[in-house]
Amino acid sequence: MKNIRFILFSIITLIFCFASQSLPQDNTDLKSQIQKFQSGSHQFMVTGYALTNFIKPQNEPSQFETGFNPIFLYKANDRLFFEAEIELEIEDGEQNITLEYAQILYTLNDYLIFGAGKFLNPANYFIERLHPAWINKLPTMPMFVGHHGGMLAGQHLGFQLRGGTPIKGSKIEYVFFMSMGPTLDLDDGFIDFKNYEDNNNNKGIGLKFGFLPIPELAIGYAFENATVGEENTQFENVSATTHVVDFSYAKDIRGLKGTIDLKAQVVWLNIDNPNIAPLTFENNSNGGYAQIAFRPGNVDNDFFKNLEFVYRYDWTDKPDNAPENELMKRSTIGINYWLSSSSLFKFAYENKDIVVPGGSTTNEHRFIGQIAFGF
Amino acid sequence: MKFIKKYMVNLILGLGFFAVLTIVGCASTTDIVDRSGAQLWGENCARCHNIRPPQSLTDAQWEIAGMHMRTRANLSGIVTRKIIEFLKTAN
Ligand code: HEC
Repeated sequence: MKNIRFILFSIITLIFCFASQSLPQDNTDLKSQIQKFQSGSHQFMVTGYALTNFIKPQNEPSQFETGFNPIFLYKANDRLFFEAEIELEIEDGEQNITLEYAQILYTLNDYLIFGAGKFLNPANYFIERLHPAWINKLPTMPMFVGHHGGMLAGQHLGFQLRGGTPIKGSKIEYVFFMSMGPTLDLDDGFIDFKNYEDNNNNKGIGLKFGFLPIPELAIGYAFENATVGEENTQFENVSATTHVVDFSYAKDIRGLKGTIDLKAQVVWLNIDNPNIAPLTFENNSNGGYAQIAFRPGNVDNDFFKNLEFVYRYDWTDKPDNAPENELMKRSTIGINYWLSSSSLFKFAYENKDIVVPGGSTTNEHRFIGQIAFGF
Repeated sequence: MKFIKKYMVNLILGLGFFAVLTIVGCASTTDIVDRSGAQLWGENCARCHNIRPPQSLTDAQWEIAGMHMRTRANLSGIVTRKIIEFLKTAN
């Protein structure tokens, strides 16, 4: 441990020393000498992102929130890799520290990688690929995706096998994973994804397929199944099945002098009905989002080319007879101003309708400003 | 039963859709494995986020970030190696 700390400390000190000297750009000799010092065969990098929010809800006091997510990447050789992210945040009046993911990866061949640990849910396209604040085009996440709660796990604790294969001009992607799976909440019939101690021996499994007929377009389907009831209770056979579809299209359109970006994802969650009070209802929920963004990145004007316009519609629909059975529908419009390829200001206004049993609707709206920086 | 039937119909519709897209995919130009590192970089690295400029990282950092992205984006080994080589020459 002490040795590793010493080596890391030396490497970081060396990097700082070299970074603080101004180096001639084209001196490849010097560059290769420096790389000799920097590399060895093990390589280490800290990256991540930071954000600060300003939120003004309709009838409540305005709030600031902030977060910092360091990501640690460690490459031992061409096959062995480690990735971990820690989330540090002050949000909803609380300070939280979470292990977002920590995974050891081993490359089996050109088309297959094995990973074990806590990893972002491969079935959850938004969480796995789009949620970091410098990538997400709005300051909020769709309600169903469940970064910490929702209808689809944000992370899994277990292992996965994954990869991609080009087939002529197209590509297929595939992931198989096995994990602790969620647990059933006996009060409201919903499932809790934060499962750090499994209540049964039956592990959750999942599959994800992606298909990219052309590089700009990706469509995906994912399936998850897990027994969620506790072993040796009346609920031991209750299982939850999830189907997810996702869609992504991003293209530079010359006629529009900019980039169009379309994203969508829908999830259907079905939990068995054990018919034991209070869980005596058909337990089917669904949720999803569709988002369109346009950035006129190819216009001549320096100000306009950094602007981006975004619209997202998202919803969650809980079972009709469940204790908590509201339908939530939300529209969000946003304008972003890009400061660099991975930092931006976001200004968004959202309008949410909550339809409760009996059909009455309440409406909430709020303004959110954010600055985000990915490094 | 009704439930299963609904999913069978969805599955068949889905597979049909995939079949059409496969034909579209196979009809498109050069095979992915024959494309240059620069082209593959342009095609694969702007789907989820803005393209990160080659100059933003050192050679050693691109090797690490490249391996990170290989898993995230399910890239095959050969595509990843070509992209990393390109980034190392362009930074
Ligand atoms: C499938 C979506 C996706 C694709 C495609 C993708 N990235 Fe990323 N990229 C991400 C996400 C998500 C992150 C944030 C890191 C995280 O959350 O673990 C990221 C982070 C990065 C970072 C910051 C450093 C790091 O490793 O975290 C760099 C640099 C980067 N990507 C470069 C690339 C390059 C080069 C390509 C093309 C090979 C690429 N990305 C393709 C999703 C993607």
